[in-house]
Amino acid sequence: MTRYLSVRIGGKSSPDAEILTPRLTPARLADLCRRFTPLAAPDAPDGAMLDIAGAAHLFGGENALAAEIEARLAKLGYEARAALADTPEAAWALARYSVARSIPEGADEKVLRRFLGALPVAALRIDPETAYALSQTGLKRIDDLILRPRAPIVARFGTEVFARLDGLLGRARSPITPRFEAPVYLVERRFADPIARRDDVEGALAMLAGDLTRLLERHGEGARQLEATLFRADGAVRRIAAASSRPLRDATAIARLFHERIKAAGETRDEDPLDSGYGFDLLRLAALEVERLDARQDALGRNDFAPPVDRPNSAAAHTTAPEMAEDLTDLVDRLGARLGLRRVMRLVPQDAHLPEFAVSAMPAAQMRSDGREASWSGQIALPRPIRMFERPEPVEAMAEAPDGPPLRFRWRRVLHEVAAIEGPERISSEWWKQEAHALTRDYFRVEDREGHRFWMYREGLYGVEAPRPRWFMQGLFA
Amino acid sequence: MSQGGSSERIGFLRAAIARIEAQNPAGALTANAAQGRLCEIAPATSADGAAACGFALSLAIAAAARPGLIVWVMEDYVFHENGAPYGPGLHHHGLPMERFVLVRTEGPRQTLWALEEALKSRACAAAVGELRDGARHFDLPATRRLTLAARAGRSEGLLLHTRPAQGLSTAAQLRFEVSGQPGQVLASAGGRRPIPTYPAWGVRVLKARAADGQYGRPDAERRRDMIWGRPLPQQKGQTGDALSLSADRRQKLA
Repeated sequence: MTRYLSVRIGGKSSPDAEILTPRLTPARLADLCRRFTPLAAPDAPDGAMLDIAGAAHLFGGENALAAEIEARLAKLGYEARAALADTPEAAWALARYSVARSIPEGADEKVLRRFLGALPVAALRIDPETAYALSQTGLKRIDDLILRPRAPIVARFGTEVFARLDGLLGRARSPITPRFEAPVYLVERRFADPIARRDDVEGALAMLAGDLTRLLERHGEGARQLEATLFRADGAVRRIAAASSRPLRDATAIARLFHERIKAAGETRDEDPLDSGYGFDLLRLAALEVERLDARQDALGRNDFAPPVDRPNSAAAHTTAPEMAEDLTDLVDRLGARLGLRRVMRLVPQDAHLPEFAVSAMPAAQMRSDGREASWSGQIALPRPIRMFERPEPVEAMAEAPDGPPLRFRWRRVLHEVAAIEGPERISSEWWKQEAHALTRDYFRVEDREGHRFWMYREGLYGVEAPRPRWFMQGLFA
Repeated sequence: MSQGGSSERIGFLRAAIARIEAQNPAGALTANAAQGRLCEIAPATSADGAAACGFALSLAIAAAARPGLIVWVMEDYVFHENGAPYGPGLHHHGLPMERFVLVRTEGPRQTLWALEEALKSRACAAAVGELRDGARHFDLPATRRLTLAARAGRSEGLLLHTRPAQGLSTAAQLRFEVSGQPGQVLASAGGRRPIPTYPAWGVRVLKARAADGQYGRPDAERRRDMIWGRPLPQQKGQTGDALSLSADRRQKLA
């Protein structure tokens, strides 16, 4: 059984509405209503649609729920109307064109006609021109349409009118598009008095993490994507997302991830990182993405049977392998939560000729654990510099011959005398790729008289590709 | 001989060896590495940045013999100015790339935080931190925190300065000053310039402190020349370590 609630903002009940809650857009209204049900869709231009199946009893019944929504919006300075029905169309029509608050659940067509029949055709949610044209022909009320033969009306006004009518009477089902998917697992905590302090919020999140952990444990799953939603008393909604690189079912680890996320927010905005304002009266923690996670059996006797081994020289003595792996992903997650996932990277070899494309950086949290990424073990260990510049830097080089190795060169305003040199190693671009038309490069491994080692190249074959090849510094050896 | 007696004696010997090693800064490379420590590496001149980076890398590779990640934390500024660690080059020198994580930060505060998190996480074999204004941000409290974190996580912390470090006052156990040195070369046919081989550095140990707080007496003026890699066949008396030390022997340019 489905049940829908339509909210419509009528107008401002208080002149301060714009100041109290600026820009109450349908999306923000939907966010605000998400505290009642996870499935809330913005309903442009002036409302929101809620799927409240199975949620109303939590708020003392449907009428109490509708009254609470209206009261809540009234407090923000908006006149709102909420109405309930079994279809979104009927709820929409009721909220806007009727004084009735709800159509009883499971009402048949006769009951529906009693509620909706007297409403104007505009309640079908058809565009105003069509509604006007219909009323000009004498079809002013929905009742007028129901008994009419359909073909002439469809021929003149299109199929939309009857599609709407079918939806309204429950003959056809139309889904709503929630602003956010309903999370897999969700725990929440309500506060009689809003909480504003960061410590309180983090403490509450830690408690919620405990609840969520128990929920996940019962289902044998772990969370990969988490989201904390903070509902501010004045209607603003704040979301904090956190991701984990392994299925997570550890309350302290979850709490720590959010701690870092809040801290990171505090670094960009020096004042209140949570922007708590009047305080939050509802905190919600949801696992958006979960993966199967079976309980791990700890190594037998790690703590219970074997006497403590005191081997200070062995680093492995205090951690077992699975623990180490957990610490490892925890570290990567924590760094990523604070600094941003794209700033914690692993280097992955790429099959490319040009040195700058031979390696790519991937967010470490998104690496697949099954090791299906290209592996370094198969790579030939070519003599390559340990550091590479973001882009090659131009060098003034003097060579005996235009296509010979350099004798001395000037880089970053310092003149270097070449003492030892190896090269050229000729690297050309991938000619079989259309977009690649880079010049051929001749790479030299150069050591200067002071004992510094460089990796530089000459771009373009002399006389063939370039009349005067230029030199570039690309990297440094140890 | 009773079992206990012999192990006691071995313990005594070990302690004695440790004391000698603490006195001899050349042994500083291996001393206390397993308990977790903090080393500083600074270039001798501003041109020796790559040499210092290579030395830090060699220490990180030595630390990678133990399990755990090798985390390299660098600021965006350093990334743009001095380039980034290059994967194939690290792979060439034998760093286990599967365990390598590169972390980029926006500033010194984030760098210090990331380093501390990495060091104390127990998942980390070595963490390298690269800072632009090292002398300013690696002060005594900050480095003391890092030292404690390294000890808690039994990991190797390596602070890499991008400029010559003067007037440093830190809690690091070891401080190295590295300069690039002309390395061994192979003669080239036809009177051309010789071929470079392995990286060579001059390393001065400016500070060496044992884990128990005792100071060794590093001879700060003495420069030790090191080759990174297997010495060439004509060099005798050295085995192929990843990091071999040929103290006070300057390689001549061929």
